[in-house]
Amino acid sequence: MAESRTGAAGNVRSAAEAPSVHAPGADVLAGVIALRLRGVSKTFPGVRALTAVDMDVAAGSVHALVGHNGSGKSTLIKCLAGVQAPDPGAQAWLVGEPLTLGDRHDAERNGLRFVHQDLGIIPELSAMDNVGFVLGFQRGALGRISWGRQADRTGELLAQFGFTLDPRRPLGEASPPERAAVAIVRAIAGWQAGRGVLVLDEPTAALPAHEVDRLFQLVREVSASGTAVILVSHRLDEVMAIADSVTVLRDGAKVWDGPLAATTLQRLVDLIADTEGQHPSAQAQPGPAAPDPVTRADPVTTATPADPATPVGEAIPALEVRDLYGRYLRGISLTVGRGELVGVAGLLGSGREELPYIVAGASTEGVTGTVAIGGVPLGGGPGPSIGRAQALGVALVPADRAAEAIFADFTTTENVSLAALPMLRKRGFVGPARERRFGRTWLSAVHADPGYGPRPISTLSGGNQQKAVLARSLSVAPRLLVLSEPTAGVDVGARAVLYDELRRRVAEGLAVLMASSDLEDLLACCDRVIAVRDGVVAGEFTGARMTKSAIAYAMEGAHHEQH
Amino acid sequence: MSSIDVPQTQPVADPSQAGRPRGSRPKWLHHLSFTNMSVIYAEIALIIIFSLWAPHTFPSWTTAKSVLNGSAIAGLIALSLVVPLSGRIFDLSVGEAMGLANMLIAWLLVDKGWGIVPAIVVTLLAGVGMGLFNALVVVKARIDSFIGTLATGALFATLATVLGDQSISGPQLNGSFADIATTSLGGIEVPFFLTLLVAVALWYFQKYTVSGRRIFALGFNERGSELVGIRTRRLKFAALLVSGTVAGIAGILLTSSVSSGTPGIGSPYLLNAYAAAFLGATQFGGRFNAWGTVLSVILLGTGTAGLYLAGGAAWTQSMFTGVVLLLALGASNLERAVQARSWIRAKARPNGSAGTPAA
Repeated sequence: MAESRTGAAGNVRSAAEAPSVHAPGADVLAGVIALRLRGVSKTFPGVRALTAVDMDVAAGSVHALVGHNGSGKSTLIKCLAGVQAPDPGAQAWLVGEPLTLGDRHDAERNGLRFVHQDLGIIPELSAMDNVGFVLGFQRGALGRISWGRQADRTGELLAQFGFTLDPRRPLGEASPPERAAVAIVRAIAGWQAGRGVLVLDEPTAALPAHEVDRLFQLVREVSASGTAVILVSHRLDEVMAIADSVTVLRDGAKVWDGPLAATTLQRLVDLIADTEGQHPSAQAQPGPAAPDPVTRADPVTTATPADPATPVGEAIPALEVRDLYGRYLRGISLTVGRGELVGVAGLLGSGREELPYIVAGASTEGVTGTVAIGGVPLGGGPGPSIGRAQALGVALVPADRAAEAIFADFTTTENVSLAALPMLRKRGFVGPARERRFGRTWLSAVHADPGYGPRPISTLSGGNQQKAVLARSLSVAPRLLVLSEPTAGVDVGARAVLYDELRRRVAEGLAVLMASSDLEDLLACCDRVIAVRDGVVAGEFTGARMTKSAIAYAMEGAHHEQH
Repeated sequence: MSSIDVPQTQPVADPSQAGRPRGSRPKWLHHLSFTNMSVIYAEIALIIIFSLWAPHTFPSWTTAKSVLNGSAIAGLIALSLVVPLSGRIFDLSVGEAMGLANMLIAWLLVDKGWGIVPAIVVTLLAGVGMGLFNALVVVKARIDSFIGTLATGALFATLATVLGDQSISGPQLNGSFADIATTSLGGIEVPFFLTLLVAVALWYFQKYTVSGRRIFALGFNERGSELVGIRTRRLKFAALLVSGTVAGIAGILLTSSVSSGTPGIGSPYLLNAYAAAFLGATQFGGRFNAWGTVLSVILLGTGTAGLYLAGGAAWTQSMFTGVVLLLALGASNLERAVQARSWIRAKARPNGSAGTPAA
């Protein structure tokens, strides 16, 4: 058992044993309990998604619901919304009155409102249209819509919360917080004070960090009006900033709940990731005193963000990124050497998902800074483009397999050969036999059954589709392979195969930059992991320091909390 | 899952695994299956039905010749759509483009008194120019192809009426110019052979060239194509250039065939061309392709001729086109459903590949 950090981990033990329900006194203090859940379980065939979850949400408070993917957060929200019925025995009360869980209309009628991550708004239409679809339109004679009054009413509703956007303009032109505001305002308009419960399901997931504040101001105002707010989030720093109390779920069960004042960010990270007692970093460098958030143990690593000079005598890195700005990135700098597999960790909206696309030349909007591939700047000449990145030897495995990587109507062979077709050309044409051979060879190379070749790729499992995509990217002999979410929807066996193949190619000199939301991925195969937070490097980990908790701390900004 | 145990580190093609999946039908049988080439079976069925229905007029070499020769121009226009449609680009201007070429060459020959060769060259260039204009509208100005080519088609029609608001005809359109389209070999006229030639070129382009494959990729997944590094804008540009050029060629042949330039002659060709291209796309593997399109044009021509010879009313001919299209597209959906079901069954069988149905 590793010796734990005195303050943080010491409390974790007692926290886990803390009473699972609020002390009765808390109810009195916070006033009314707006929503009370008891014994909510949900069993899917073969899987227990939720195990007897209790929850109390006080009126006028912000209650955070946190946990990893698969912890049961979404299942609980779906039970609340009535999308799924919980197992028999679950009980719920809304302001003291019993509520039937699993009944969509009952939830709606009693004042449970939901704003999901995609907001459910139609960006082509204006704010007044989007509000009108939910709250109804202002009518004139003969039932015609009175657009003037509709615009006025929409404007008033938004003005109550300090948003002054033109209700007649398409929402697509509005800023992301403004769009969120429209979705929230239309959900809660017309409520009696202190009655409703507003559930915000990952409202900030798609927002860049610098745009979150305005949304939170709105959430505070909503809760100040007496509405209870349940905030589902994976961004713990935001939870710390705005929530009053928190429920932590892990593997379908509640592992902790209580007022936020009684916990710390580190403890929450530990509770969520189940890393209690795993603090090797604390051993290597005792105390939270590390002044630099960039934790580095291994001197082999290349230039630091603070020291932009390329180390003397070192070969030109396969990838060098300097002061890169984009939609999410805020001046990130990093390098990837030849024969190195570097992972990028970060929460949604941190820039983790944007970086691979910029490096591959596929995302150019608002991008400034330097990306150099093997010493040659990507931005030189005709400007950054996919073609230029490819010419420099970059291959991309995109994040969204179905939308960006797979050609569902092609056979597997055609999917594999697409990038390398010009190389298969002989006297101007591509021979089918030659292409079939190529497909078989590359499917074997990524340890997929070569017999899949003639099958439509849509009939393959996610893991095998991903192998085919990887085969396509490797088949052009890239010098730098950039992957985003390489294991989304990929089964465990295929994951191991993908890791092994990447490691083997890296040993041959390939440079790999792999961005993933799955820390297990990164730990399983990376030489070095860079944690990105709010668009900049928040920590860099190698060797023994590369642990789940250390990376998770850096992603969530737990180091900053220590000062 | 079964592939994890492949131990090799170097790519090795294993011939024992390269064959077709276990339990499926032999490949040649699949190629002959009804849904894969339903147009051919439907054509045979139609010939039998009309031969029984109109035994004195339908089953004759004359009917065959007239169906094939009548399919030439329609086939050429339908083929001009195959390349753009493969890339999910609609060129709705081909009918009007052919009409403008028809008027232009008639006007050059009759009203301007040009020689045959310069008139043909200029009309061909006009075809290229119309394709170029479409490409500029769709690719450079980024106007959706469906709307953009609707607009350019209207402009082409306008230009055609500017050249003449009445039919242009004259001796210059007969004689040696008319010979272009009416010279025949065994009763089959030049335009039909030219259509076959274009079909061969198109088939080769789609099956064996990199650009042909990339056009399909563009049509299946545009974002994916960009990320693979395909220059999608260039491909779209080229596709529209091709359809405009082929429409120009079709216009010249049409003029030679009917010996006149007639305003508005092109637009009725458009819908039948789309019908044939979409019907053809259900054949031979489910992509827009040359031979499926040509056969579909012939099938539609056979039906129209048969109904005419059997004494059917005029409305039965357009009804025929609609019914055939719905049946063909419905059948291909059914085929897909049947395939999916048999695939699931094969997966669920305990002695299947891995024993567990994939998620």
